[in-house]
Amino acid sequence: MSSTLTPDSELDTDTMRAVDIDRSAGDFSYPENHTYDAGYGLSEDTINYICDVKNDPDWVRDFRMRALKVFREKPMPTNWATKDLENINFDKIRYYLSSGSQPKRSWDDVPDDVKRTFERLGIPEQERKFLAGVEAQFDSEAAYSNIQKAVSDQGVIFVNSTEGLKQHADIFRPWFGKVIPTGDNKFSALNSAVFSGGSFIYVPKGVKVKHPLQAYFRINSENFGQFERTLIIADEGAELMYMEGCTAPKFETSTLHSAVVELVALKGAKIQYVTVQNWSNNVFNLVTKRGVAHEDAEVKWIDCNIGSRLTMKYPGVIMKGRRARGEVISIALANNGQHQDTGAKMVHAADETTSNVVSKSISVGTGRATYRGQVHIPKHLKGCKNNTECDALLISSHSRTDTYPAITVRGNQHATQHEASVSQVSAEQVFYMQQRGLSEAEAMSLSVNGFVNDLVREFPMEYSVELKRLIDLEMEGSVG
Amino acid sequence: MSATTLDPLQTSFVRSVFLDAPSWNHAAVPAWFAQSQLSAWETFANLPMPGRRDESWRFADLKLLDFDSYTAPADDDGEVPDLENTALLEKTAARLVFVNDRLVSRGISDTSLQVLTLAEALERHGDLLKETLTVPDTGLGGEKFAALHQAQLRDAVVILVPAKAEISDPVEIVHWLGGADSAAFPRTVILTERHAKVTVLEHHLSTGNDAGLSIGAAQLIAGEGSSINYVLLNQRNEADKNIHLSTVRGGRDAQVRHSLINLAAGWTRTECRSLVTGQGSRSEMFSVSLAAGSQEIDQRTLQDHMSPHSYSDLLYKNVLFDTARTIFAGLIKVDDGAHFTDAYQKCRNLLLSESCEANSMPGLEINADQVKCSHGSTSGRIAEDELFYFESRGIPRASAAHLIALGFAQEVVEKVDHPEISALLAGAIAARFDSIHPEG
Repeated sequence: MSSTLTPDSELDTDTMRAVDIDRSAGDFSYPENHTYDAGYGLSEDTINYICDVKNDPDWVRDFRMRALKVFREKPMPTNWATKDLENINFDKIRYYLSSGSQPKRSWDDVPDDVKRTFERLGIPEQERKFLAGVEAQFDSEAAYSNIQKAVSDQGVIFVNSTEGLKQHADIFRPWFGKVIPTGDNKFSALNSAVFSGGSFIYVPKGVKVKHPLQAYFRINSENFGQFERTLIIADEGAELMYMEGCTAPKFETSTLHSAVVELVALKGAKIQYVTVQNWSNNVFNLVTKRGVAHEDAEVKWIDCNIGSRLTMKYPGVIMKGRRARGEVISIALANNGQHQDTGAKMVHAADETTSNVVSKSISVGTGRATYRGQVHIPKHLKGCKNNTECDALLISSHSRTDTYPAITVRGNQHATQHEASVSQVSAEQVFYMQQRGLSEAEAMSLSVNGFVNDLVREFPMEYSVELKRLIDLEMEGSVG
Repeated sequence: MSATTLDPLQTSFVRSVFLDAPSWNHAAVPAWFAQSQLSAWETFANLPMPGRRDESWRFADLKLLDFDSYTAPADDDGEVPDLENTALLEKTAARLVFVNDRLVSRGISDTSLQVLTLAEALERHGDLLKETLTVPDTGLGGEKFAALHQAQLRDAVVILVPAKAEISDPVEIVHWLGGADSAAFPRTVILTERHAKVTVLEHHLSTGNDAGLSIGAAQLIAGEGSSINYVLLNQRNEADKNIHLSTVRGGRDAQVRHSLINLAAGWTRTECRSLVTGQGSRSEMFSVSLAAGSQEIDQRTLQDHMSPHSYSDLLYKNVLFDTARTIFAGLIKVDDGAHFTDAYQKCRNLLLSESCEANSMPGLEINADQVKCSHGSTSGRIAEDELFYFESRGIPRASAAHLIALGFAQEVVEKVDHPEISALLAGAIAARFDSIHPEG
């Protein structure tokens, strides 16, 4: 076996496994048991079915119908995006499935098979108790929902989006679809037409939620697209961290995941939104995420993409008020057959707004990691700043990495800088570690961990531990 | 497009270069070349105009792409300017002056290289140029204009440098554009054989203030171990529109430097594709643009590494005044197997007014291993502490800004690395700065 560090050699399987992470933990599925099933394909009937089952108000039905029209009219964005999108067969996707169970109030009421799912996902018992609330989505509906008393006592609303739009319409409706309009892109239109599940969170003025709110969810039906819709509103001076993580069982045919997440941070509010995405290798993960930051507010996206066949995700922040801040921290790992097409969109719409994008990607085997960024600073503003850094690490000779930023600056009152670099695990580094008794695989994994380490630290404690574990897990087994 | 036959009655008819097929005189050219022009016209006619969804025209003001009114000037058109006064270089290996694509003067003082017109080149080296004198498409969005250029081509400068010939003095090519609605299609082809060396300065000017259109192309083909240093100085008037399409190809251990100095012209679009085909090859692309008034300067580049152990560097600098706009879209592409590539790309924008706009799209596509690639892009104003330093030394703010901006441009000028050319470029940039009044 030749060394991995000569360009023409292929990686040996040990090293391949070492730099890969354990995705098999998600390779399981339970018998499907759905009370509601909208069937394959998308039409007006599908929408009516979803509305009827969910008992949507009329305005939601109208909203969905309009969105369906927009979805049909919009072309695929293949003029800039990958042609792989053309492989999505919209007629072979089931747009709504539900077991019909109402959100549960306590852990004991959760069905056993759902509990087993969480067990396999490895949420420790202590953590469950520690976490403020668990909003876990099983297929389309939240199967389990537990809001810790302390949080609801503070006046925080943490429900699924269906409940949100019915019971809190006065807060929900004015913001719903305002950050990401239906026509933003083809997939936001699709989501607007068929959304189900997702969270609605409202944090009242001045409330600082101490513990992160968390949602775990899974896709558990073949060809089933998951279209959750999340809206988070942090009122003046409020603070919140929201975490979502997901694994999915492997299926033979492709599944589609197309979420829309809208964040609103009012004056002085802070929202951090953390994602760890580990879909199986056949999932199209096409997500639209955007936040609005008002005066002195801060919206921070922390994003880690490890799974899926194709991920297209460009979290954005519209900095609408003075001194607003936007930040995107992202890690992507693209393995064989995967394309992680991620990035960030920063729209400066007020004076003295600052944005920061730090993106690190690792391409392994035939994996492809792409960074796409947009920074926009219009001319009537003063004192806007942007910093963008993207670093890519290539592990094997067939790995691919691309960077496509677009930066528009108008006027002389601003400063932007963008930097990107591409590198390898250096031969010297690996040699040094081998000389100290580490195997090549260990050395490689240590280097990969080192490369993302400063970003992993940005993740909340539970996730950074989980992330490190994800990267380390298989490495241990591959040694010796 | 049936107008491909020559109708003698039609020769005095004012032809739009965009709407009417050119009146070719194909009697004296090889059949392949005639055919290439015919099919280029067809390609041009069949290709759509760039649209809003074209990534390669992102941020560009497509309203400016209205060329219907431009006409190909007649042979005796365009007054010949004072040739002595327009020479930039004292000593040249060869000097050619064109007015609206018509050769009006040619002086050759170094006979170790061949400096030929299109007709001469086709006659003497037809076979050699069969692969070269084709549509100069860069693949960067201007394919319709590349086809138009080929179809409308009336003359060209073909520079052939034989093996081991090191040409010490530069070749100077001057292209004047004059007369209302005139269109010109300047073309420069530079071919260097093994270990040859040449420097070429191309100079684009306007005879007056009439609005003209220039769609030019340069092809730099450097053989093994050879070196080409190409500089294009654009000093057209502010009503002119310009497209310049460059293709660069460097063989084993070859060095090609391609520099664009854009000092005027109302609208300029440049495309430069460098194919780094040989091992040990070096490709450098430099540019400095001074954009003032309502100018738009739109530059697209590609550094395509096709073999291992090659090097490329790019530095594009823009200084923006008034309501000017600049667009830079660059891509470093490292092909499968092009390991051990070193490729760098930097775009820097200095914004000197409240209404200017800089768009940067630096890109990377890496398909190989063991590469060192990086790109960077910055946009900003002059730092307040730098101005303060000048002021504390008694230099007024306005002069300080002026000096700093000149220094900013100077970095590119020095990279041209030819003392005489660098000096004259610095002079031209300083003169242009003086003619623009920065807002403070």
